[in-house]
Parts: sequence; structure tokens; C-alpha cells
Amino acid sequence: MIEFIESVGASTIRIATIYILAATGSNFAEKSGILNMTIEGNMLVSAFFAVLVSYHTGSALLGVLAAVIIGIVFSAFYGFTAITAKADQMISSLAFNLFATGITAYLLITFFGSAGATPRVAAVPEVAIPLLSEIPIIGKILFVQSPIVYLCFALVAAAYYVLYHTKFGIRVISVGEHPVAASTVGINVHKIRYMSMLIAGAMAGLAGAYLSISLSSQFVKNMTAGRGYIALSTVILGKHKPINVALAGILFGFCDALQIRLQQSSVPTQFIQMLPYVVTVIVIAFFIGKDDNPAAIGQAY
Amino acid sequence: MKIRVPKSAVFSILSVLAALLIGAVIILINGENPVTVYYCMIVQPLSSVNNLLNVFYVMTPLMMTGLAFIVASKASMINLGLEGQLLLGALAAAWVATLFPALPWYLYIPLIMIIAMVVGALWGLLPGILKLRFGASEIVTTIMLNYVAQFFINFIISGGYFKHPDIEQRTPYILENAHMASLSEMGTAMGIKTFRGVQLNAMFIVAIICVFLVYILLEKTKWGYKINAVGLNLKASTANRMSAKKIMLCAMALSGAIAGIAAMGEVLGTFNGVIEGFSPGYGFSGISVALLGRSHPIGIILGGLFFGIMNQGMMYINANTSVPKDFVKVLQTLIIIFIVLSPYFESKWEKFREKSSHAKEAKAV
Repeated sequence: MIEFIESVGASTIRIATIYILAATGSNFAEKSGILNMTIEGNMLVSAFFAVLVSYHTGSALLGVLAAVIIGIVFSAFYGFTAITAKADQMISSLAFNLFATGITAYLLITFFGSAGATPRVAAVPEVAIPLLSEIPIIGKILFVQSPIVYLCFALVAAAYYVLYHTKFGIRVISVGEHPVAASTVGINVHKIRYMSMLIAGAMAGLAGAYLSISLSSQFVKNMTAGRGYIALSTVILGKHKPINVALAGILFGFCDALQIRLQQSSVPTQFIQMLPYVVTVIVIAFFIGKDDNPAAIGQAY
Repeated sequence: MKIRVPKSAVFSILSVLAALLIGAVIILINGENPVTVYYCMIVQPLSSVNNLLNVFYVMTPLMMTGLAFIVASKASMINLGLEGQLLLGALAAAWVATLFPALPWYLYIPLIMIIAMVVGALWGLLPGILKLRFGASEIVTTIMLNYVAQFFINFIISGGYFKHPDIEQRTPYILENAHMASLSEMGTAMGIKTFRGVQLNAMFIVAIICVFLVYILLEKTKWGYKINAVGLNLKASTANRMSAKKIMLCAMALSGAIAGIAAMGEVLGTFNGVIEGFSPGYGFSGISVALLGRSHPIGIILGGLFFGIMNQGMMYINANTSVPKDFVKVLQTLIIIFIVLSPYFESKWEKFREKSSHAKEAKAV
């Protein structure tokens, strides 16, 4: 039993990290009033470049760095579309995501000659934290993980601090609630939104790298498989509050962990694979009630 | 939902050209010649009557899903669940098409289509109800429901509940009286060789009829007027909230129904059943087609034709170059990105022109 709790607990945290990283970053974009549906595409592209760089340099660290840079570039393009060009954010998000699906499949064949997956590359190893990892149960669940998982804990705390206790955070919130008012008191709405969007991009890039060269050690075609949209739901379920978002991420991570665990049982695989998506729909419909989006979300300024 | 589209066709064309330019760079990454690739993509599909007929075949499901997207979006519902509605409609059709060997085709095929429409409509209605009753954003739920539908189909087929006895990953062959013959098959039956290899079947005509029916519905009927009113003025119509909700649900159901029969030409024609993963993303391509067609039913035909040419051209690209088939998808999404960006460039251009004309006036004075 203890072993079961440990293994499901550890894989919950392992998977939740994808959602928490992406959602915590995206929360900044959403708080500032940008509807950010591009997590899916951003993670996919950066997951690919993490593997590409790790493959050619043999360094997982450089792979992670490359993914973060790609994540920032990707979000800068989307930021231009949403903020400066004031394009429809839903449609352009969707187009960016479909572009990501297409371009990664294209580059996968171009650079690796494979239509399905890359070879295995250098990945970020798991690190057991001395002492802490020896605490019964919790140690195995929380402290025998990839360094990116530890970084993720720290980033959640940082996000909380930045959003509620710094000038920048308060500006982000005011820009998302009432851009006109924010502008009249001298806040540069576009600048704040761009910065928020780039934070979202960097963290989606990190989440992408985590997916491909930490959780796994290769890129598989379309490997995000809707996880970006689940991260979007994580933000909504967490009601745009960093700590709640992290807890929501753990809930979705738990569903995924359970699903992977159940695949070893006699229930048909495809049926179990539906689980995270069904749970997302149920959670969105029955546990959120009225959404509490920032007042100006999706509106260009 | 109001999607901003360029005012003048010039900027629509410029969007396409800009996408082709970036596409050329992407081709160069692969070490191929962009001219060859674009020749294969655009000229080859139009190089003979039979090739053009195959373009019509390829564009059929895209027109249908594009149409489905427009119907929902006119009532300000974003139906991103077209793919799931299409898949479940296809599965239902493939099942019904194995049941009644004695029915004449002229009753059987309409029956199959009605059932596929009902299934698609129900799957479309679900996110509609979740939104209006519980406030769940349809953008997330529709995408999640696509995955559910996808896995459900894999579950039904690979789980062995409805599987071809000998061939993996597909449903049993449908009955002969449910089959939609292609032009090629009709020609062979009549001893004509002209249309050999043409996959086009009657579904194309059904799709064109659907386009005109939806056009009439949206533009010429009271119901269409109501849909447009709900879409344009959601907040003001709160006085009449109940009826607005009812109209939004009807629009979602109709959208789902159209998506439900979008792939009938493939299911009842080419594949004679459902093959796992047979849809290369018709649902999402439909959204692009709708945007390219400026959210107008008639524009759907042109948008569908353009995407149909590109999709068909993909086959020739594959045969003649080493460029992966995903290239066409990349290009299509680039076009959409430039289309949504073009109002911005258009307004910049107008400002620039105004400025320069002011400058001229100043000089003249």
C-alpha cells in the first residue's frame, strides 16, 4: 500500500509539474488580459528544440535553455499578434497551435528522418535531495525528482510574490482588469502585457523541455496531446491565483498518474486514456461555477 | 463572434503571398526547390479534368466543417469540437451502414445521414449545454471532447466491439446498398475509362446543397436573422435571454449535425467504413476554410477549393520531392495567421497613405 501511494504520489508530482509550470506562467498573460491558448503549441515547439539541441550538443542543460528561448520567441510572435496587431486572440491562438503541430512534424522528418519520434538524447537526471528524500512517503514523493520539479516549486512561490507583492504584479492585475484606467495613471499597457506574455512563454518553454528531456528523453510527434489545453483549464480551475493554480495542477496530474497506473489493469487502454480529458470537462463544468476571468481578458487595447 | 477580416481582397491575396514566402524558407530548410514544390502544390492538381475532380473530392469535408463552424460562430459559439462531431457521426454511420441489407439505397443513405447528423448534433449540443447551464467555456470543453471522441473510437474499434474480422484498426465493410459510388466506379460499371482514379462521389453535391441551404437559412429566414442578432448583440439581448439561449443551442446542434455528415464521402465512399485516424484534422482545417471564406457561406466554396487544391497538391509534393507532407499544414496555418494580422497592416497602410497625401497637400500650398 505504502509503495502504491509512493509511486502514484511521485508520478502525480512528476506529471503535475507540466501543468503547474505552464499554467503558472500563462496566469501572468491571462492576468494582464491576454487570452493565452497558445500553451499547447508553445510547449510542443520548445519540446522539439530541447531535444534537437540536446541531441547535437549532448547537454541536457543547453536543451532546456534552448527551449526557454524558443518559448519566449514563440510568445513574442503571439504577443505581437494579440497586443500590437489586436487580432482575434482565440483564432490566432488556434492558428499558432496548429502551426506548431505542423512545423514540429515537418522538422522531425527534416532533421531526424523520422515520422514518429527522435532517438533518445541526453536528459535531465533525477536528483534525490539528501536528508529530505529520506522522510517516509513524502520524501519519495516530493524529493526524488528532476531539478525542474524543484525549480517549479520555487517558481510558484516566486509567481505568488511577484503577482501580489511587487509593483509589476499590481500593474499586471490592473492592466487586465481595466486597461483604460491603468493607462490614465501612466502605466504602459502594451509593455506590461508584453512582459507578462514573455513570462508565460518562458515558462511554457520550460514545461516543454521538461516534457521531452526530463519526463522522457525524446521527442514524439504531437507529444503534448492536449496537455496545453489542460494547463489552460488549470489556470481557470485555480481561479487565476498562483497557489490555487498549483493545487489544480496537482489534481490534473493525479488524474494522469492514475490513468497511467490503470493502464496496467484489465480495463481497455483507450478507455482509460480518455480519463484526463473527461475529468477536465467535468471539472470545468461542475466545479468552477462562474469563471472569474480578468475583466478585460481577450480585449485588445 | 466578430472576426476581423481584411476589408479589401488585396490584403487577402497579400496574406497568401506572405505565407508562400515564409513557406519557401521552410522548404529551403529541407533543401528542396520552392518553385518545384509550389508547382506540384498549385499547378499539378489543376492540370487535368480528373485531377480537378479529385480536388472537389478532397474539398468536400472541408466545406462541410467550415460551414459547421460558421453556423455556430454566427450565434457567438466557438465550436472547436468539429473533429469529434465528425468522428462520432462517421462511426455511427459506419455502424448503421452494416445493419439493413434489404433497404434500397435511396432510403438507406439518407437514413444513415440522418443518424450521423443526430449523433453529431448531440455531441455538439453537449458543450453548448455545459456553457449555458454551467458557464463552462466551450473553447476548452469542445477541444477536450475531441480527444474523448477520438479515444472512444479507438476503444470501440481496437477493443473489438466493432471491428473488421481480419483487418486491424478499421470497422467492418459497410453493405453494398449503403455505398456511395465514386465517378471512377460508375465509369467502370458503364464501361467508360475516362474517370479512372477519380474518387469524387455524390457527397460533393450534398455539400454544395448544404452551403446554399445554410446561406438561405442565415441570410433569408427569420431564424437566421435571430441567430445573427444573438451573435452581434449578445449583451443587449439579455432581455430576451431564454430565447437567446435556445438559439445558441440550436446553432450548436445544427453545427454538430453538419460536422456529423462531413466525412460521409470518405466513410460511405472511399473507405467503406471507419479507419482509425482517417481524418487528417478535417475539423480544424474547416475553421481555417471558414476564415479564408470570410465567414460567409459562399466564401466557403472558394476557401474550400483553395485548401482542396493544396491538400491534393500534397500528394504530388510527396511523389516528386522529399518535402514532408506536413508542409501543407504549416502553409495553411501561416495563411490564417497572416489573414488575422492583415487588418493591422491594412490600417498601417491607410495611415501611411493619409500622411503622404497630407504631405503632398502641404507641398502644393
